[in-house]
Amino acid sequence: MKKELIELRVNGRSHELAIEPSELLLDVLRQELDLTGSKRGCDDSSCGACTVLVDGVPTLSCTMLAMSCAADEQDAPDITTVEGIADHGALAAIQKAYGDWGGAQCGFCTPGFMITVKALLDRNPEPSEDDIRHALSGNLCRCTGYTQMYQAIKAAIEAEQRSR
Amino acid sequence: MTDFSIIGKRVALVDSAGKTTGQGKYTDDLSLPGMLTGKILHSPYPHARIKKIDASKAEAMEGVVCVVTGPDAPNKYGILPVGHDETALAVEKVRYVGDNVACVVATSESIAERALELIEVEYEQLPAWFDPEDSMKAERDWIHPQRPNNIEKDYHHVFGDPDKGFAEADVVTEHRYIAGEVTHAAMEPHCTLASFEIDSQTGQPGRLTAWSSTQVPYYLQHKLSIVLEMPMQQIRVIKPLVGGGFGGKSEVIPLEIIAAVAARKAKAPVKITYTREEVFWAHRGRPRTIIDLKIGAKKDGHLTSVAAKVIQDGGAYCSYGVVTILYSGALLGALYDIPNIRYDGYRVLTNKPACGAMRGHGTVNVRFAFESQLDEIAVQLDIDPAEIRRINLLKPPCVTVNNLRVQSYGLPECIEKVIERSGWRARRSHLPPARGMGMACSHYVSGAANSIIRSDMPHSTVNIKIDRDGGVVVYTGASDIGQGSDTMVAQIVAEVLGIGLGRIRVIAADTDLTPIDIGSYSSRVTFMNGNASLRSAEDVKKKIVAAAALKMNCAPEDVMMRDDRVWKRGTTSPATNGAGAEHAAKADAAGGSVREVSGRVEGQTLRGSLQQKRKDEGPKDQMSFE
Repeated sequence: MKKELIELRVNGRSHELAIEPSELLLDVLRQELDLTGSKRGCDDSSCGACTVLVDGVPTLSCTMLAMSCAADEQDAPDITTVEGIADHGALAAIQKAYGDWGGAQCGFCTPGFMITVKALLDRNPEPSEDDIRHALSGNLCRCTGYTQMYQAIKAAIEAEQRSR
Repeated sequence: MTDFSIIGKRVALVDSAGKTTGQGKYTDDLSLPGMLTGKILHSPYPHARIKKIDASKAEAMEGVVCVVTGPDAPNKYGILPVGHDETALAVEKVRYVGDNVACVVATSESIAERALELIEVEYEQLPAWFDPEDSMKAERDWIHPQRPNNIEKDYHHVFGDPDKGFAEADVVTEHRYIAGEVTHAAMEPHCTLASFEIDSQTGQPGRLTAWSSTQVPYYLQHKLSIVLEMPMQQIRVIKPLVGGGFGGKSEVIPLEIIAAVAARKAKAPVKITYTREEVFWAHRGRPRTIIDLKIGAKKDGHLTSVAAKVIQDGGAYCSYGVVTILYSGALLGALYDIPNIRYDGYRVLTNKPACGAMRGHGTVNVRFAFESQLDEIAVQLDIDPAEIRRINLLKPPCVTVNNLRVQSYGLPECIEKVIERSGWRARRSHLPPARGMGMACSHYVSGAANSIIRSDMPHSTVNIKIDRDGGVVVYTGASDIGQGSDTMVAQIVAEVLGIGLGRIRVIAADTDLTPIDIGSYSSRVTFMNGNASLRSAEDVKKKIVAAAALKMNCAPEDVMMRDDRVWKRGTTSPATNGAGAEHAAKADAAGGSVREVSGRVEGQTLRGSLQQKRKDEGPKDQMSFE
């Protein structure tokens, strides 16, 4: 298939890439840009391990064409992957809390959760338990460490509030 | 010692930052220069003879490097020494929908996928067996010719006098239970990257390195050695981060072998990653199980006899099946005090994806049947379900009727706490309509009895290297698959040496660098690799203590090591900073090298054995309950 040149804006940096129009955002991130933090767990938008933010909206990159996130004259969508959420080279509050509270076990689902939680807290800095559960409902963890994740998210919110 | 500084404390996993930032690498995150992609062609038929494979059109396609088929690596392998019935790719027959027929190696995934469609395979379909009870009656077209009637293995054990036990019973219940098949569904689909190096002396392809999502890197090394006809020392297996196993990566999975065979033929590094659909075909999950269970009990609730006939729908290959069907029977008698047991177990081959080991290997389905029936007996005898379990508790230390030695138990205390914390009595008497509250007990052994690679060598060895400035490197073969064994090992070593986790670096699961550990399965890693870490760290400590005692002019017993400091007992201000680095150097100079020490755990010392070769022969060693 003939390749096309696109511009993709990822974690605040622009990249010019030649890709096949059928290529998925997840494959372009992982294979072309070496951003392997986003994972493929299921191939069919079931598990959430590939979640990235596109203009702040959690998006499943395994079923999103890279072309449709490309910059054009009007618009340059901002893509954020798990590699883009650390805080100036140190762990963001939610990353630290997931480590401290055992929210990451095998860790394969963790990047997806990081992105989902970031989107939640960006939108709503003081979510209720229900808000948290609702926001996380599209991400699966086979190690089933959900309780530790809720604890971690609460701890991260408290840490953010203290530092404010 | 109960005053721990690190063990039992809440610490972040030593690899957690890699997991939360995306920096940690799983196998599919790795790539090598010149790396190619492998894609597997799977069988569309459940049982068929392969008459011809024509891959010429696929091979002619631009971007295709080679097509691998069965004859490229026909040696048989299997995870159990008694079950070598698999080949990398089908040699004569396919045995389930999804069986592995050929592998295309190409410069991209999309090219490989298009090339798969160009491979022409001529099949001759054979009758297929989907239900184990039908399959057992088959008189021809057996799935493996060396397994008559498609029976992989049967066990017939009698302990005590079951018939007498039933005759003495006041109530006897008998039912059939069927438990469905379950697969592990780890988040990370299996992946292997295989690469050969060219040997400097011969100029020919030499050593193989395989990065793989595995719970058992040393077993993978062994099976690769069989299929590729290479000595194990020429094969290096590295386990990167693994995204969960649950038993699904506890044996050698077809793509692990196929990737290596493909890399050899393509003369370039090859990576194969399963799609989620392929994960289901590779399977190795918990088998569908048919359990005919009969239990006899006295009026007072005491069990008098148990008879179980268990049929497991094992799928098309042996996998761990011989062990699964053994465990189903052997653990029947280990939870309660049962004086008489009869067990008839059948592991049956069917034309479906192979079943293997999954959490609670072999025990879960039979336990479901047993606990369900125990509840029925409780109702018939008007005994509280918690009480009937208490009535039948073992009294350890003891030996069960099938000769399992039970040293630790914990079940009485567990039941007690569940009754108390669940509000068992009060809540059960006030349940709204259509609501229930139940109790079921289960158990498992910690520790594997025998290595699958038969050997009297230790099951776990841990090496420790001390740097001159007090850094500690721990070399462990333990496979962290998300359960935290790297952290466990670091905690044990840090605790013994009195240092913080920041000084410890764990190098794990790399067959070139780390001494053997037989793998992450059977809840054995903390028990066995943890003990090897403990012994190794204690040996290191002994040498540091001896050197420090000399320098501080005190008895070795008075040398204290904690919180990154070494000091003499009774002095209040710890003066030496640096985990005894200076003392380690002293110990070196004094002749005893403290730089590298190893601790190991012999399989014979610490093991839970469920071997029951004959009906009158029970396991001989202790087990540790969990």
